[in-house]
Order: sequence, then structure tokens, then C-alpha cells
Amino acid sequence: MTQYTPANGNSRFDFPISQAAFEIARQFAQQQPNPTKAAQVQRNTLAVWAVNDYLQMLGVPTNLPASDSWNPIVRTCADVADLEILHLGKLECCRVSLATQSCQIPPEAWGDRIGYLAVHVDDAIATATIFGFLPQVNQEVIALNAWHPPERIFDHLHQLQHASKTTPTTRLSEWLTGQITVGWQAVESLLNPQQLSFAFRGAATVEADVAKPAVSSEQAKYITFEQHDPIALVVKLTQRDQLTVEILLQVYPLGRSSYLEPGLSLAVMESAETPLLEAQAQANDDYLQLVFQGEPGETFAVRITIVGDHYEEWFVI
Amino acid sequence: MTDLQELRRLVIQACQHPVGSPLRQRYLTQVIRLVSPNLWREPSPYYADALQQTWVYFCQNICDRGTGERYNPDRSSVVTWLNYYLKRRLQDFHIYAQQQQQRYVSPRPGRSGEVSDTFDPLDQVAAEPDVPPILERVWAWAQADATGELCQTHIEGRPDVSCQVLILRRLPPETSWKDLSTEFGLPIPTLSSFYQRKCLPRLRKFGESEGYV
Repeated sequence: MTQYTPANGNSRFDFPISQAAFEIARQFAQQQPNPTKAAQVQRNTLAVWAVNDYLQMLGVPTNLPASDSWNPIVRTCADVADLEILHLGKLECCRVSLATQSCQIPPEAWGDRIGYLAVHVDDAIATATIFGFLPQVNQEVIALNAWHPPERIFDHLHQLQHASKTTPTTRLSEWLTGQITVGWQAVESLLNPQQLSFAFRGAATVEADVAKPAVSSEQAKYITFEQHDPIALVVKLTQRDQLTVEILLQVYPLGRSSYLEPGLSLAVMESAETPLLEAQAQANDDYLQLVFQGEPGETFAVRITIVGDHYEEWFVI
Repeated sequence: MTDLQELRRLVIQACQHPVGSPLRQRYLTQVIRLVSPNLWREPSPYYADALQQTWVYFCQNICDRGTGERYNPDRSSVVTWLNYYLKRRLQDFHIYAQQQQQRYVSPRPGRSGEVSDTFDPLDQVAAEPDVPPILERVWAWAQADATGELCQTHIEGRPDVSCQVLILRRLPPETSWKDLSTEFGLPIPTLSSFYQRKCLPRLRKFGESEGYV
């Protein structure tokens, strides 16, 4: 049984709003020119803060400072209560009216959102009540009984994460000119200091002409699996000369364990069937890596396999 | 099925899935919903913070040994386990506040939510500006439109509905989308989508150049 409906048919739940949220909300509201706008900003800030606390606690990576609701210009110019979910997009925390038992979605938030949570904020008891979730909206006001239970959001986020796995081919040459593909981020932002000390150690294993200066770029991607802990895929490419690009692939655990799940395999594929190189995690492996060379224009896929699941992404050098 | 049995079942199911997996997230949310109404309550200014810390503790220790002992279902119900932690946090906050009070002769912080009740003498010193600078600067920037970009970017076939016009009209005290829709004879989604796609990115860029973000 996977679907669960609470006995009273009501799927809302309460979440506390900490004092720090009130302090921030007060600061944000103070920047507003009139009481109506200040009240709107105060409410939006508290709702986003509480949802951020709730999602982070359950392991959803968010980026609060990158949200429009945290941008002093945008929150002044628009009615926004968005929370940036790392790599996926903005989640809107819409205002609930208990009087009309409905939730209002400002026109500014009708597009450019990956989902909507209906959130009621009660300042007096420092409580946010989360009523429901919808992946998309097509009206300005939606009755509360039309919303899915809030926990549906997790399947939705997982599906989006999965869809982003079947991304079009990633063009590595663009990295060397500073254009970073959506979904990839700085290695330091994903790995812990100990893992960072391993990163790129393998680069020296390929014979290199040290006299020639090399251009290089490295990026990391957060990858989730339905039944397994998340991992980081790190790709470093180094252009040795016009015809040679060295590629270093690494996989690190991002779950609670500091070791990769034994049996997890990392492979470089030339076509969908033939692995060119392969490495498999043994017990107590804290990372895996593969190094190879290619020519500009060549394509390859990285395939990470773990019991019952896999991740695949195509690259062009 | 009683709530207690239901809770036990949900905890077992949650813990069968790894941290951060959608199934664990879903079951833990269901546990939060069932447990929440049965938790200890008291009118304390630190209640929300103590409760927030309790939920973090819950997520970290319900299935594995995290920041504390792993939850043991044979020893206590989830509610008893969390109430014990919650009361300890409330006590900590209380002791800390008392120490602070002894150290400084300062008024107690207001109850959560009653932020306006907090009396801080420093608040009275720094007078608030008459017109918030953010609004003033956005207005001046949009009005001047130094590069002409804001005027040149407009809804197709409607040079009268430009980024400049919409940014200025949506600055507080803003004209409602409904009134703008009537005035320009365009549906709200046309206006708001244009605002989202064309105006907000320019406002973000302006914010960056001004050092706001």
C-alpha cells in the first residue's frame, strides 16, 4: 500500500515558524513602501522559510538565497513566495484563505514554477499549515479540496529529477569557454572537504606534456535514485592540445554513508551496449574514477548502475 | 487500525527507504501529520523554535543513529520520544533566556509572532527613511531607461505595453493585474507571462548591477 489518506480526509499538517524567520520577515517588510505590501512580503517570507525548513529537513536540496522571494528588487516588484529547489526550479508557497477555504495564486506565479504548495501562515502561533500540493495551476483561485495531499510533492520532485536525467547531450567543449550546462554545478558545492581532497587526484595518471599549458574545467552533478542514496558525478576535462582532451570521471556518495554502495558501477559507453571502460565499487570504496582521452567532436555516455536503477548521460567532447 | 498501530506501520515503512528518497519523505510527512496534534504544547516564546528542532531531531534519528540515539519503538511511542526531546529543548531555551536576562538588563523578547511587541531601544534610534531606497531606485532606473531597452521590449504589436510601462505600473502601490487587463484590453496571462519572461529578468539584472544580490 503506497497511497495513504488520513482518517478524517484532511491532509494538512502544521509546521513551526522559528524566531529567526520573524526577524528576517520584519527586515524584508521594512523595505516596503506601504503597509499592504509590507504585510504581503511578511507573509511570503514566513511561508517560504517554513517550507524551506520542512523540505531541507527531509533531504530536499534547496537554494533559498537564489529565490525571487529573497531578492530585494523582485519581491518589491512582484507578489512572489517562491523557493528555489536545487537544479529543478521554483516552488511557489501560495496564500490560503481560511474564510473562503481556497488558495490564491498571483498571476506573477502562473508560469515558471515546478509546483505549488498551499500554505497558511498564522503569525500569532508561529505556525505554517501546509494544505496541499499541485504540480501546475490554471486558475487564480483554487478551492482547498481540489489540492493533492502535500506529500505528493516528493514524487513530483523525483519525477522531475528523473526527467532531467534524460537530458540532451551535454556539450563539454562549452565548459572550456565558461558556459556551464544546466544541472551542473561547482564541485565544491557538492563534495565535502575530505572528498575534495580526492578530487582530480587521478588526473596525473594520464601521461601529460607538462610543458604545454592545459585548459581545464570541472563540474559536478547531483544524482538521485528512487531506492538508493544520492551520489555526485564529477567530470573534469583538460584540453591537452587541439586533438586531445583528457576526461576524468568520479563518483562520490552523498548519502549518510561515506562509502559507495558495493556493486555500484561506473562505465563509459561508446554506444548503448558497449562499455569502453568500467569500474565497480567494492566494500569501503569512498569514490570511483575512470580516466580516458578523446578527440573534440567524439561522443560518449556515462552510465552509473546500481541495483534496480541506473543513470545515463551522453556527452560530446 | 488505531493511530498507534498506524504510526508504527508508517515508521517501519519510512525506514525501509533511504534518506532523501521520495518514499521516506512521504511516510515521514504522514508521521508528522499524525504525531503533531499529540505533541506537548505550552505558551512559551521559544515553542516554535523548540518544535522545529524537535522535527529535525525526529528526521535524523527515527531510522538511524544520527545526532542522538536511534528511536527504539520497543521503549516508547514516537509521541513520548519526541515530547521528551521537546520539553528538554524548551527547558534549554528557558535557561538560556534567563542567563541572558541576568547578563544584560534588557526587555524580554516578544512572543513568537508578536514581533512588533519587541521593544528594542536601538530600533528607536535609527529612523526609517521616508521612501524606501529600493523603490526609488527601481523607479528612477525604469523611468530613465538609459539604453532604451525597456521601451523597446514590448508585447508583440503593442508598443504601448512595454517593460517600462509594466514595471512602473507594478511598482507599489501597484495597479492590479485585473485593472491593467481592462486598460490595455489584454488577458491577464498575456500580461503576467510577459512580465515574468521579459521584465523580471531585467529587474534581477538591475538588482545585481546595483549590488542588491
